[in-house]
Amino acid sequence: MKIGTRGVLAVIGLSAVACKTEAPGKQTPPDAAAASPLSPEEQLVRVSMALRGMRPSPDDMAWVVDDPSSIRMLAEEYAASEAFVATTEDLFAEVLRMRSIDLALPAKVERDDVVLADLGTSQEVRDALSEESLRIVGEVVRQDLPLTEIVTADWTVLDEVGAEIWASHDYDASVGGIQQVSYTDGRPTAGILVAGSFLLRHESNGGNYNRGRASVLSETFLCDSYAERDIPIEGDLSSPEAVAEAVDHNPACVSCHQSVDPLAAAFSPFRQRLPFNQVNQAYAAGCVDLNANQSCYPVLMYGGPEYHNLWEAMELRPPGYFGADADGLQDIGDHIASDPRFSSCMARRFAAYLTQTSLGDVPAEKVAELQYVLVDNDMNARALAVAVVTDPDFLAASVATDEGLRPTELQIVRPEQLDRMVEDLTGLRLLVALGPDAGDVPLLTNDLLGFRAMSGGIDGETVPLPTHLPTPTKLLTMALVAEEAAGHVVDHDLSASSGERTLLMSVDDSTTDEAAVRSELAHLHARILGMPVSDNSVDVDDALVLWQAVADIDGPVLAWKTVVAAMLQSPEVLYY
Amino acid sequence: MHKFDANGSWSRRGFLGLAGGFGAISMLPGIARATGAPKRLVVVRADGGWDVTFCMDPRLSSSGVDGPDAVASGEEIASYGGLPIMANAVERPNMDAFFAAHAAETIVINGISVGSIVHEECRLRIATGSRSSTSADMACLSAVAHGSSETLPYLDLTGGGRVGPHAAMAGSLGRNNQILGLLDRTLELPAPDGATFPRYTPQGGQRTALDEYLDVRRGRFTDRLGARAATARVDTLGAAMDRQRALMDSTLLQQGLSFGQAGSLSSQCELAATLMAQDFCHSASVDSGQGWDTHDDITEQHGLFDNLFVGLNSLVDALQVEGIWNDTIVVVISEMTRTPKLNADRGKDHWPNTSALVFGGGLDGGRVLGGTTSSTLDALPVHLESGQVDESRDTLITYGRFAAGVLHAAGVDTGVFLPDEEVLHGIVDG
Repeated sequence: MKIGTRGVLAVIGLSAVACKTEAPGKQTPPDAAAASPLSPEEQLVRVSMALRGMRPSPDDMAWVVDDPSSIRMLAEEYAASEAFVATTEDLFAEVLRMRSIDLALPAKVERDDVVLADLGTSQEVRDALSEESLRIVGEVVRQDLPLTEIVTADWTVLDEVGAEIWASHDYDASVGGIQQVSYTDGRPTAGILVAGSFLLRHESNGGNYNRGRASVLSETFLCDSYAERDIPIEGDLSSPEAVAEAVDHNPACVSCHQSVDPLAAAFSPFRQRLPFNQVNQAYAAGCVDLNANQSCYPVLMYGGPEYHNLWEAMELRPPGYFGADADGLQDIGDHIASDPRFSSCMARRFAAYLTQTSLGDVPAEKVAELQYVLVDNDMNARALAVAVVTDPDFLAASVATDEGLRPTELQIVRPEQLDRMVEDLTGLRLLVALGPDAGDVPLLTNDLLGFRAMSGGIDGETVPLPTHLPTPTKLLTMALVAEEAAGHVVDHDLSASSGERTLLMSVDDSTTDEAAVRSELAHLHARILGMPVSDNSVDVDDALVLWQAVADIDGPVLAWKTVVAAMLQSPEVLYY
Repeated sequence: MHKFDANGSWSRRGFLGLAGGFGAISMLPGIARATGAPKRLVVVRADGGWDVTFCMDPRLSSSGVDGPDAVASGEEIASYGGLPIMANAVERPNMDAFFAAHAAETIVINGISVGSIVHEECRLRIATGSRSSTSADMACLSAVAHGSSETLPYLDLTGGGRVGPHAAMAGSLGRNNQILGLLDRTLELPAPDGATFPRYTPQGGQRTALDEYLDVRRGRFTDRLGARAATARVDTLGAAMDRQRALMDSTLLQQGLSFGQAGSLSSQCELAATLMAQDFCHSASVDSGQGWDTHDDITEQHGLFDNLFVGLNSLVDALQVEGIWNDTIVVVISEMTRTPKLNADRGKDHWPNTSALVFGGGLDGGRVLGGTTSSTLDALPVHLESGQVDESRDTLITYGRFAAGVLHAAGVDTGVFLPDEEVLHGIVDG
């Protein structure tokens, strides 16, 4: 029995997490007994997919069948995994829209056949730009730091390409790889808010004076959206001068601007924009004058202390935080960290993402419960996530409401989850090689040539929200991925020794014995579908019909490819 | 080509999902006024915020407005069949050509209030007539109402269409037509480390057996779910599977697209017209493919508008060639217009109303609905029945009334899809 080992691991990895995950005074609803939980196997698949985007192992499945109460310990184990770090990065990629289809800078700059800058492939540049801010989140989770570090950290996380793009950090090129680094330019310490990639993604046009960035800050970390508010036009707002007057004195304008403008002013010392062509133009200008130099690699994004009061020269409101004093982004980050709206917003965001619920549809009482868990566990993301996925409502087939029992919605696999799940099951991550300049592009997490938005994800620009419904193109994508993965893993496994196999366990390329085929099919049900079934179950019967139909004509190898391809696009993979 | 029959049943396989969906729709309240004949709908998007003074809401410079003449010579307000349009035959010749040919079939709608200056929020509102992020856009709703028999009722060529709960009826081709990679498994996509695509693709009997297995599995899956099978995410699975297979069986897309290459507006328009004419889709969204957010240099609007009208001219030609011009309404939208005055960079910033062009579909054109104040470009109230400015009223053409008017013109029951919105009847009834 392995419970002892697992228990030790869970306690070591999550000593701060495995406690205090229920709000005080929380009582079981009177009708809760009428709600019907999912089976232990279904619960485990749901928890594992939500936290990791991966299927549970057969051992985990056996354990939870044997002891349904182990679901919480397994959830804690999954939350301690690297896959959960990736899940939180996915979450914030969606919130911050960092993995934008249009987020790019030149990978190579050439002039008169002379290479002036060569950062790598365009895909590597895209990754460096999209992932820097998300890796800050990932590192916070990985190190069990409080989630508030996201807006207070005095470090960022750069890879080799990012280190060449951005100026003023202590990245060690002799070591390489992904490193946690400090800034060397004295910029305010405010985590994501001062990261070059965040400022690049959420740029500010001249007349906007960083209000867009302030709006993103408020929406992301406080769940308070300025963008959704109506803009009433009262009086003459036809010129920049009239607008400047109105934001100070027109009551309809002041209601928002009195709070958004001080947040915006804190971004004063940071570069407002870095258009793609500006880098090329800077190199064309020889990187000699001040402006050109700032736009050649490594790019300057922070102007220095002398720019902290730029808001004053622009006749804008001084930095502040909803009426409280703030001297810059460092103070803003600190204010956010101590604002109860932050913990409430994080609770709402994690619940919405992990349960595929619209942000506004997460019940207020649920947010309050989760907020308590978060605060009581030192703002630990893992504890929050475990509380979300072990909530009885999330693990139920139906829940009690005033109108009676309501069947719960199923979750639908996201493209990022499908990517991780297929790689875990088959060893294949689907990439297309676009050549030495473009690099290798992952097809499930990219939209330039891949299928992320077409399979339900967002593209960070024109598709701002995921689609949690089966669509024709999502099913087409699943079919492609399933067939490619099946071709890969069957070829690999049937030529590998038993200890080196990925998915198929016991058959070889000439196995036709029905008992052996049935045993393998039962194993595939457990591994791919998360369904422990007997060799003689109706599910194995279905698969055997398919296997036999192909094997009779095309032989066992193609039969296994067809079966694996079919199972990887079955409803039990699409839904969890 | 495979088609769905008039009852929404797939000719080769079951078509269970949609039946449930339409059953639910038919139970919703109706509307007071009968809708017109069903029309196809093409929505053309110009994302980023156009400056309507360069075209359909013409203004020469005054104390309150910097018109196009502030940055270019040769601007004049010309009348095309009764439509006042800002013309400049040098800077925007294709716009001139469009209105010279089609003004009599074109309705200009000015002073549409979007109530925001945030791109994404305004795009949502003008495309859907709603503030809800889960709403579907006009082209999608038209397809839901009338397109049940098509292979893919709503074809989204922009990649940013909004489908709300109707995702099973819609499809995007991808930014660079990568849907071909899903449909044509003979494409030789390069794989890293010497691997080759496809590693495996079911052939002949393998495909048939695989599809039969998936059908059986769907049945067992829904049986196991019990009441949960009726939840929205599962209820539409059958429809999505049928349309997935119809896409695999159709070769129309493979004939009209190039993998890895974004289509120009003209090519998108031609493809949309072809596919609508062949009943592949009922409605489509296309994208100008340009960034209209000209904060830094308003003169960029010349080229943006001219390129847009290259595409619109192609679209009209294609619809006429395909013989569906009188059955297809075209709506051209941008999420907002730009400030009346130039900013310090000689660009213009965001302004919370916009205009639209509506043409085709046998509509009575040569008319301007709505309007804006001469000095500040604020939206003016209208009489919704006629669409004419009526300053004695307080009814603006809001994004919701505009969308309801378009849907009404396309023969869609707005009482089903936008039940709380008044209808801008002036588009068809004015």
